[in-house]
Amino acid sequence: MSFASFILRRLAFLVVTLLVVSVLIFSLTQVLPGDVATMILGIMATPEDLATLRQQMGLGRPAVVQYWDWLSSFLAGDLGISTRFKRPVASLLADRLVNSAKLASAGLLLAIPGGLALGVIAGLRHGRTVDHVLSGFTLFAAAMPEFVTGAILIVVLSTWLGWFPPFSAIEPGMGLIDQVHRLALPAVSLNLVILAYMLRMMRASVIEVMGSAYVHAAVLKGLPRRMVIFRHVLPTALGPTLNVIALCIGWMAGGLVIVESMFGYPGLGRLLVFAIQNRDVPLIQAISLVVAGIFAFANLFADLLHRFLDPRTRDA
Amino acid sequence: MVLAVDDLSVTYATPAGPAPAVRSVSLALGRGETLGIVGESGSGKSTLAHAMIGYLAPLARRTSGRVLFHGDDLLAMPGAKLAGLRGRRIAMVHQNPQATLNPALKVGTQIAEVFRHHAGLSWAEARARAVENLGRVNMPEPSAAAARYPHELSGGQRQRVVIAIALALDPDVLILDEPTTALDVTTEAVILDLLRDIKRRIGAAIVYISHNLGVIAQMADRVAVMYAGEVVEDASVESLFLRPTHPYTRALLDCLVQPGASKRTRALTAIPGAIPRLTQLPAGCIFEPRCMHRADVCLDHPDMEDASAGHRVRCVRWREIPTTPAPPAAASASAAQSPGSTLMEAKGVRKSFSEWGVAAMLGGRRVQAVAGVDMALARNRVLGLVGESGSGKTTLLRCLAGLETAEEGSLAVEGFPVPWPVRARPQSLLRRLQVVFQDPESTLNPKHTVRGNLGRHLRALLPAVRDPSPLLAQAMARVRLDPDYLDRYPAELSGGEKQRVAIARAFLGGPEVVLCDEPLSALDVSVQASIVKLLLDLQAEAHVAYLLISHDLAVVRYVADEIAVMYLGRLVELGPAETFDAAPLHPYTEALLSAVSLPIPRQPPSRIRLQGPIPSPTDPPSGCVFHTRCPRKIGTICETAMPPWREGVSGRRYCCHIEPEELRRMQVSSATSLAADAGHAPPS
Amino acid sequence: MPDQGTAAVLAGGPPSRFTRAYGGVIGWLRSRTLATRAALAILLVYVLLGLLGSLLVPYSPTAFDMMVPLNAPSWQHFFGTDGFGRDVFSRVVAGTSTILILSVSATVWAVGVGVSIGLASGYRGGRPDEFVMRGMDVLMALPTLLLALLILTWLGSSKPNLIFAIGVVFVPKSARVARSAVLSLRKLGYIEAAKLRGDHAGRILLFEVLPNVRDVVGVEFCVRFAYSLLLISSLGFLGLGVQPPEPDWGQMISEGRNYITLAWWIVMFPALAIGILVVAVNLLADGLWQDRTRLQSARIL
Repeated sequence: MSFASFILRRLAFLVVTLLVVSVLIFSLTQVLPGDVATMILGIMATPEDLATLRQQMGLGRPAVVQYWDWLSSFLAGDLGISTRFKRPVASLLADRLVNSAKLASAGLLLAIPGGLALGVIAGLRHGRTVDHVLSGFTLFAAAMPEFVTGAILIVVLSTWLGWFPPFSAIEPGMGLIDQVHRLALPAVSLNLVILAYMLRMMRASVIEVMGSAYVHAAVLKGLPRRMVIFRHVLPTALGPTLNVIALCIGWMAGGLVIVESMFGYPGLGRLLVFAIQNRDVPLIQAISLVVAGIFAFANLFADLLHRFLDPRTRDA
Repeated sequence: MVLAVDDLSVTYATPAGPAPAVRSVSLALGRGETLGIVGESGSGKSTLAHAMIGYLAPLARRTSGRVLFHGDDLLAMPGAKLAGLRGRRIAMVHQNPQATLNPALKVGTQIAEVFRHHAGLSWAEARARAVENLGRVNMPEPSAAAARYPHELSGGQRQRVVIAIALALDPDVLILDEPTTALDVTTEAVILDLLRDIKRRIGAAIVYISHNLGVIAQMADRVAVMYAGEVVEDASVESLFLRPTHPYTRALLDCLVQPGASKRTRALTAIPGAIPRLTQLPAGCIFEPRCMHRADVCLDHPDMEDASAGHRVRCVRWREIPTTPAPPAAASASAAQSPGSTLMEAKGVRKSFSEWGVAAMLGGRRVQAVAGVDMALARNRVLGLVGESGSGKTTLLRCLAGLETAEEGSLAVEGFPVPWPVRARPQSLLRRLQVVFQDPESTLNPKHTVRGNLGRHLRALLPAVRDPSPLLAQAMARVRLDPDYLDRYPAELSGGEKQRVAIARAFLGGPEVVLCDEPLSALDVSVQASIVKLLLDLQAEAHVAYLLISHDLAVVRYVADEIAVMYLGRLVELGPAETFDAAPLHPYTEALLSAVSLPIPRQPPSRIRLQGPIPSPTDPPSGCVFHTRCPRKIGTICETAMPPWREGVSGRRYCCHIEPEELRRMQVSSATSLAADAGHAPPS
Repeated sequence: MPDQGTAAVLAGGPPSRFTRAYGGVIGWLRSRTLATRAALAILLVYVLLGLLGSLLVPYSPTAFDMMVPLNAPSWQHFFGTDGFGRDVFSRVVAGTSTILILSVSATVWAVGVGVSIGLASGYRGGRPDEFVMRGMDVLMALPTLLLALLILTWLGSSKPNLIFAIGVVFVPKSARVARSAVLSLRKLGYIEAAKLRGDHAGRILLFEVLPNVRDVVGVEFCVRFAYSLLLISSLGFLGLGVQPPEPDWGQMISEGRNYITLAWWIVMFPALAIGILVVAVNLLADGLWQDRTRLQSARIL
């Protein structure tokens, strides 16, 4: 199969997945226990008001019709009105998305390359001290929930040492240095897991490739170690690790929810928690679908990259 | 001497204690000489080969001796100096070309690396030399091939690439570690031709390692026979094969099927017992526990002795052992059985696999694995089914067994129709039709004891049996195993023993038809002989019919009463086994036969070779499916029309456009020209 | 491989009885690495705390005591007190059994259902398998925590719902692991032999497949258990897990977050309790996996 038809196939799968996910999200949220209209207007509302609102929101119609209306307006760019903020969801999302991206990008730019590099070091020094130290580190770092890392970081670096602020709200107009200072703790708690996970995967991959027959053959060809590692080991070892990057992005979506709540950071995750606590249905739906979309595209991207790097899958 | 191994011993550290895999091996190799090292699995030949390129596995340690390359000890050399020799002056070809090539690099690049690094050429020059080198190994379209990735090449082509890498800088020593073992017989023949040609062209000293005595007889000038880590005999190839002196060498040769032999003329002799564990070696002669000539004097460890000039042997009793070959044992008992009624008959069996899911929606194609096969099996008879891998023979067997559902065709056992799949077959039928599988390592469930494995089978096939124990003990006795094997786990059994248990399992319910899917291919030569013997003895006892699938024509020729040849899902030739020596043969059968390496030194190679791999069954060639590779193709008729079935000699039938007389003329004349090349008189 | 013959070289001949499985609990323990044994010891402490916790705690974990709010750790209150004067030590100990019971039940059901689906689907193969696995892919198209949050928003927060939600989230993952394990076994001789004696799929899965994927399922159980702990405490932290007044570590950290500059101990001790437990479970999963490969290679050697 050619690369182009693979992309087409993969895109078709992505669309189908997102459609099914949207059905899932819609049915999980729209059939929430409790009456949406009562939730919006409060318990003091008159039955007439409630009925009017239900009518306006189209709650009495069949679920399929409701779903279709929701999806078509969603696709047209109308994400609905937040029942709690009484503002268009789209405008609420935009700022928060940028804030979350800031936090996540710190990870994408440092944790993933860092994890890969350390993984290569550990893999090549398999069984030596460096490997034991790094593997020990991953065991702890990959296991800790973000809010535990966050809590310990705040207690030690903020409460005891006073080096960082315990809350990370950022306001518009803050300088870059200030922002970095504020973002440091949440970024570390969010990305420690990612770093450890990438390290672990890359290490395993390197060890496997180092033990392969073709690397053995390359050594017996008399190639110097440097050439063996850079030409034969690293390119092949990278392939399987790429898919893990997509998994990390999915993980990060969950991590953001936790870390943003922990540090009081105004991002998408904290908004979601707020929306859930207030049963703000349009907001929950929009955030979930946006996150699912980002995750799906990350998976697609990793797949394509893997396929591009590995000639066996490129046209198999 | 280019390369000399001097009293080398290598020991592995294992949880069960030190395992001395190579002990006191001394060998020497001159320019232009080919040393064959032959041994069964566990003989230490691969460890020795790696030591010859200065490599020891991480758990291995040299305990004595040296490996001298032009007088320098490779095992004591600094890493950088050793790396400078490897790939340039000493090169190695490994067994599995699929695994030895980096899947992510173009093959041209993998050859060019050697020029780039060792010869200091620029990448452009190195790549040009890589293409040139692919031409040297007769790669078709070398410059196009250089731009391909390993997975885009066939197995034979990959091995050409690996050989091109090894030959790149005209090494002084070339180590070939089972270079054709992973290949199909027909491809093996082509690669052996190439290696023979290379041997003539270059002056390198070659070490050729193989478990296959036939291949060694064709390739080597000198031969060292290894057993459990020691060289037991070392002689010129003629001397070794004509006057084998060590009891192990002789026993090993007796295990081989002699050309032209069949179960009607002589029985195979197997070596009793198994190769000793390296952690529990006998103190005396290592072959003593299994040797039929052993005496008290054998309890001391023997040294190498000179039996004649250049013929060394590690046996103290070599003078006392009769030198005349043992008289051929009486013909196998099963051969005496007269053929019985037809037990199983298959008609028009077809099976195809389709791609499905999203791939099918985008124009999925069907793979025609079995394209209409008729066959019949009679009581007391063995039907051998041969063909390259990809010919559909295993799929056919799985259809007959019910493990795959045939789309068309019918199957009957003793006249009763048999449904598909296996779940639809009544218990009485299941009992009659059993299978022995290829891989002894996975034929038994490793988590159950032998009793567990067999007991569950027994209860399912014979639910009326109250106490299975006596029947299980009887089943073990039937396959010549001690009953206390019942309480062992499969991991505690050797490969041959596992295969025996698998055979016992197939015979539990008193079968009538036993389908054997390459039951020998994963076993060592000496073990193969004993399994063949067992299968034939069981046939004489239980009067079953066998379908025996094998890629090894020599074995099938020996065991079978009838042979069917399969190509791309179709039978192309069918007839009595003993007629398979005489022309006219279907050109495919002719090619399969000429691909067999006989254990006779310096046998001139046959000219009949199949070029290229077997075509994909998704898109079989038009007309005669064999025309794309046929050495006897006569014209466009082969490409357009389906060939008819024709009568050959004495009841053999083949499917070809060429008339029997014409085909015989072609085949005899090529045999004549071949014999003339080799300086022999043409056969009458 | 460097030395393809090596395994065979070292195997040579009929293997001795040395390859027999180690017998008994002691034998099993002795064949494990130090890390595995340490992990088991830590887990044992947690289990004991969970079982006997109510006997050990000096104060009621839920009783407010407005006389002693935000007291630092002392001999009266080992871990200090929280904003309502509740004893942090008592609450941490009382939280042990809750989280253990919840995560074990969630893991049992997730791995049980997931492994069953994965085994059946992988063994069946073909179109039904494709269909089931695509369904699993869709469930995995939402990030874990997000899907759990949505399900809990829908069902409301209660312990059974928590267990159910975590199951739904992890079933696809366990199914995948089990499926890939069974795929490698499907065409092996002993499975085919079972078909040839007429065994039906359920029997084959139970007697032939399951014993051979036991190790994989064991490791999968540990890995899922670690993730369950993580997810349950994370949900507790977000207010969708165990509901007050019942003490829960995640919820304690969330409450203590507001006092973090004044009273670090409210956050620190439950954080350590979670951290040590999760690390121990991961250590165990790691150890079991390494032991598996180590014992396998010992079997070959």
